[in-house]
Amino acid sequence: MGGNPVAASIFAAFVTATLGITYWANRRSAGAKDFYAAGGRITPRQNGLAIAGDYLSAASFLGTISVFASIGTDGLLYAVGAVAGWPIATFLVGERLRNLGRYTFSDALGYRLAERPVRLLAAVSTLCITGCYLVAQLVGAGTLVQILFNVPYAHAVVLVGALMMIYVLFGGMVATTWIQIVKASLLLITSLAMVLLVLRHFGPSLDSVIGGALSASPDPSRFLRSGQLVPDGVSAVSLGLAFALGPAGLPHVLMRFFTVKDAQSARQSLSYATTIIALFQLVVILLGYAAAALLPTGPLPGGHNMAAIHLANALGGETLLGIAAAVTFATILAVVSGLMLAAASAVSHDLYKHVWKRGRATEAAEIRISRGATVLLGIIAVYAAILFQHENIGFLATLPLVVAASVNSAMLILTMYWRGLTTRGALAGGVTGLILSVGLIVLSRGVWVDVLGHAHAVFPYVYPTLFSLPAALLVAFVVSLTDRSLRGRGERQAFDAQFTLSERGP
Amino acid sequence: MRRQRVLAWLLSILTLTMTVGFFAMMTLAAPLLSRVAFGRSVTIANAAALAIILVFLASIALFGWQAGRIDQQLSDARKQR
Repeated sequence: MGGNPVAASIFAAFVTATLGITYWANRRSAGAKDFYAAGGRITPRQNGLAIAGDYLSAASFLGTISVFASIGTDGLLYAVGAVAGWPIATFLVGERLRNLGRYTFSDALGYRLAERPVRLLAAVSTLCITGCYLVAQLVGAGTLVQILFNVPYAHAVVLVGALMMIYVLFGGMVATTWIQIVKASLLLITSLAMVLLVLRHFGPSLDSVIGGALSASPDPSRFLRSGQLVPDGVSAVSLGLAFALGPAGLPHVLMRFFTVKDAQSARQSLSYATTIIALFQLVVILLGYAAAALLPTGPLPGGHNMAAIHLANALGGETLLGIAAAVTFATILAVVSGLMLAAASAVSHDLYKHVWKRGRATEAAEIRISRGATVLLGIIAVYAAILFQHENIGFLATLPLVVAASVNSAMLILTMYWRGLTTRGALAGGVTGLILSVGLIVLSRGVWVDVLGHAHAVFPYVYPTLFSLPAALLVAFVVSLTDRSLRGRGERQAFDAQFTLSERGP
Repeated sequence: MRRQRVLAWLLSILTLTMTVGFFAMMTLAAPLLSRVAFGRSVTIANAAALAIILVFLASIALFGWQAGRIDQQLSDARKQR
């Protein structure tokens, strides 16, 4: 696959176009509102495409298709799971968060609760989520570029890291939004082109595509049998909860709710995003079965995660392979930029401005800190991606959704809908959710055995959401209900004003 | 607004239940799921996954329609004032 000229030229065109976008964005960005929220000037349709772009990472495209190709029907779990969280984010969080917040989701948490501790908790969980996502994406990008262009892994990771820092440093939210829009459009067009080729090959029927996959499979009954991806019911329910409640707590996605002018636009953005993500997953199901039908059953060059790229080769030769590979790379590049902006915002807006400076920092100082954080976090992420090159990083891709569901979503929904929540309850619940979600994943097989080399896992399941989420909610309830402090009483009294603002806006 | 809030919670619970239920059924490898539902190869698992995604889309459309009506009523009320 090395040295594909189509991939190289599309990749070069994408990088040139995105640097041009960054230059344009830099010229029209002036203050903090432009840097964090693109000045609130993004339209719902553009924002929907950008939100979908943020969520449709390389894992959605490469990962789901590879599960269909290597295991079979279990790929449906990822396809359904990828859509499940968006209706809930639309129904319960979108409009209210837009009405309560300004730049990050912790603005809403801090509306009636004590600002400094809840922002500190939100910043820690944001750094945890974005850090894991960033390293996982950078490892994927490094491997992809290494295979595609015969570039050493470390050089590839440094290149991606450098581009990511340039986009965020100079373009802020305006640049990352437009890069997401371009990338999401490219990903949708490429996958639709692949669908047309699949339908031309098999005829316009899902039945014939699945029939082709069954004919190609050495064991058709095993291919159709589910239950091979997730080993037990507890892990399955945990994964389902993470998929359903995680997106409403992903900080890089929640930031996008503030890039539109009002709550109505935020809701419309989410409706567009859900529709795009759902249609994309329908496409992925078809492509997954096509990959199982058309690709050889043995090991693939570059591993099973490259099934989508090999499918492109089988459908459209070297040209489509080059296009699919370059679009996948563009996907990773766009996603890491959004993640980096969310991480830098947690440092500058939450930690620096509100926790350290108690809300008294100037806009210029805040943006300066954000840029410094971008460089520092970028260097750390690149270094971590080089260290983790040969590790099983599967846990890094699942941890963010588990933490987002157990900490951010849980606390956001409680703050918005439950009068009784106090700062003490939110902190106790959030810390419980954070410690349990991170701790139990470390103690599970994926890290404790596969990475740390112990003989047996301490936590017997793969995903811990079934334990971390209820524990976080229970602790938040109990501590809030037993909180008799004066501050707690004031926070309960402030609920009515917050509720009215969240529904009707300023 | 209250009607929109109730609808939001009902649809969210429906979404959560369908997702977790589907994940549990798939992982426990319920034999029913691998039975052919349509044609020669589309199993009940495939049909269920497609149906769930379509229900998600329908619920978004329903919620958007309801919220749009409330937006219009609020806007009319503001104009009258």
